[in-house]
Amino acid sequence: MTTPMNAPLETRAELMRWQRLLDLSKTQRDALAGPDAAQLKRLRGDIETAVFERRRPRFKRLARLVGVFPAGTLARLAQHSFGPRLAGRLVGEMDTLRAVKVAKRLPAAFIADAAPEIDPARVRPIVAQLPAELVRDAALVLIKRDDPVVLGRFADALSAPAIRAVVDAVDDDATLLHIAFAMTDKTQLTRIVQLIDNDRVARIMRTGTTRELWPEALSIVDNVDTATAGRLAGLMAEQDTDTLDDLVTVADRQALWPPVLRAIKRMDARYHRKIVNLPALRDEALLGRLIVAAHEHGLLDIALPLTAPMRADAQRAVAHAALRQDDEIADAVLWAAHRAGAWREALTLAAHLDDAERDRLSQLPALTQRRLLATLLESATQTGHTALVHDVVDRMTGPARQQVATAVVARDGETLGRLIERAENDADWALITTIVGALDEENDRQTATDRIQARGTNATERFKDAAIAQNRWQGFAPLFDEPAA
Amino acid sequence: MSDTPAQRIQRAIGTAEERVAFVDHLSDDTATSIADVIEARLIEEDRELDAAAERAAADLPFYVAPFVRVLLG
Repeated sequence: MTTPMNAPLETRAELMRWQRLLDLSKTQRDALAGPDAAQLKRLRGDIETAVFERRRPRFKRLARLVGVFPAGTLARLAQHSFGPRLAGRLVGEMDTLRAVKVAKRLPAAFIADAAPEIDPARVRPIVAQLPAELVRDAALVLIKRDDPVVLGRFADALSAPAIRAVVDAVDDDATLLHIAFAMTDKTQLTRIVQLIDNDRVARIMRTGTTRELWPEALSIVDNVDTATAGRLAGLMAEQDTDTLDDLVTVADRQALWPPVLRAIKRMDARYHRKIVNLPALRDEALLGRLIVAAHEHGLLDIALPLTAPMRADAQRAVAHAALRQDDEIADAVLWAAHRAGAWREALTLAAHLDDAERDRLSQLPALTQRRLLATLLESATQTGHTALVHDVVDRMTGPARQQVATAVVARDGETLGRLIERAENDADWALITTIVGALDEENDRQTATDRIQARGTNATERFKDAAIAQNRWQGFAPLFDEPAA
Repeated sequence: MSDTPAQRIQRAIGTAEERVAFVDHLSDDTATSIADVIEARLIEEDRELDAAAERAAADLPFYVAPFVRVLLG
């Protein structure tokens, strides 16, 4: 069941915004963890619009009326007569320059009071022109009130000096992480991170590797451009093994695998070996959940290549975990290898499978699909995994084996040609004999054996030896113009 | 037949049916209570705006107050 503790990151941030808007009970908030973030965001936006649009034509007229007053008078009226709610509604209807002039005459505490009553969409140009010191002071009031959601509504509209002023004034990195997490519009997050000096960013991300703030830190990595994400994820990857191991446990418990996988993909590949060989990643049950999550979120293409720098015992654990999943997921791993050009990794994993697992692998529906088999066989010849492929093909049902054989002779037998070369190099003809034996068309069989004979007497003799060892020679002999007996 | 929670929310905030449909997939009690909270939030907003306008009018200079009363009233 989805709860606020294991919901996707954007859903969690939405729940904070719903909580701030409607003061929900725990039961109500927990129930909203199920729907996806986009649904929650749309409806929350509609509720806010309904709130802010209430009597808007009247506020528009009032803004026009009071617009004739000097800025100082208006600032006094705002504080002493209108109050934060009315002032918040009025500012959204005012001319930008005039609103900025009035705001400059207001105390930071009043601006902080009015902030929740302002529709951010209407005041972006105003917010961008506010003096950095005023923004900083109002932000500090809201921070003291522990109101990251309201801060997060305006953060993307702040000017560069205002952002720097707030960051410089807030010593607590956790607070900045909370505000970034709550930001309604994260499209400006890259710009904001780039405005903060490198040392401070490093400190913030290190703070983000504490257990409680891991989701906040990951959310930043997940919402900035690729280059920035790579830098931030690298800062996290530089933590010690114990910290990273702890984060693996948190990621597993809080269903954070999708952002974790995206972060690993974006970090410099030199960190991959350290990450994928973490002790916590030897747990087959945990790896199983990771594989399921990667499948559900379409991230197997990212996850599979990450097994390359794994040590053999870790690869073995991944291989067992993958084959423990249902056919749909095990099949999806094979398709990911096909799409991502990651057969080398998939075959390396398959080499760790035991007898029962190889039986299961040989029965997977994906291994009857010719376009997948074509890339698999090409890769197997290049990476020296033909013996493994033979072992799996040998376990297949007749029709499945026939599909493999047909894939081998397709495309004018290009794949067959490479398999024969490989067989000559490895002095292992078992796969070729199995494949030729599985061809049901006489023409295909003749084409295949002609190719073998074209390689010379030695190739023909080795094929014959392998066929005799497999008790198949009687069927092949006529193709070589030799007596069957 | 009475409205579902999603229909109540739709009516309260004037949004499209498909944007509130997911609320009806929550448990009955929760969906109803969320519709209650949203309706209450809008009623509270009206009440607060009335009170704020009244306070403002009472507090404003004599030459502005009548206009504010008319405009916000």
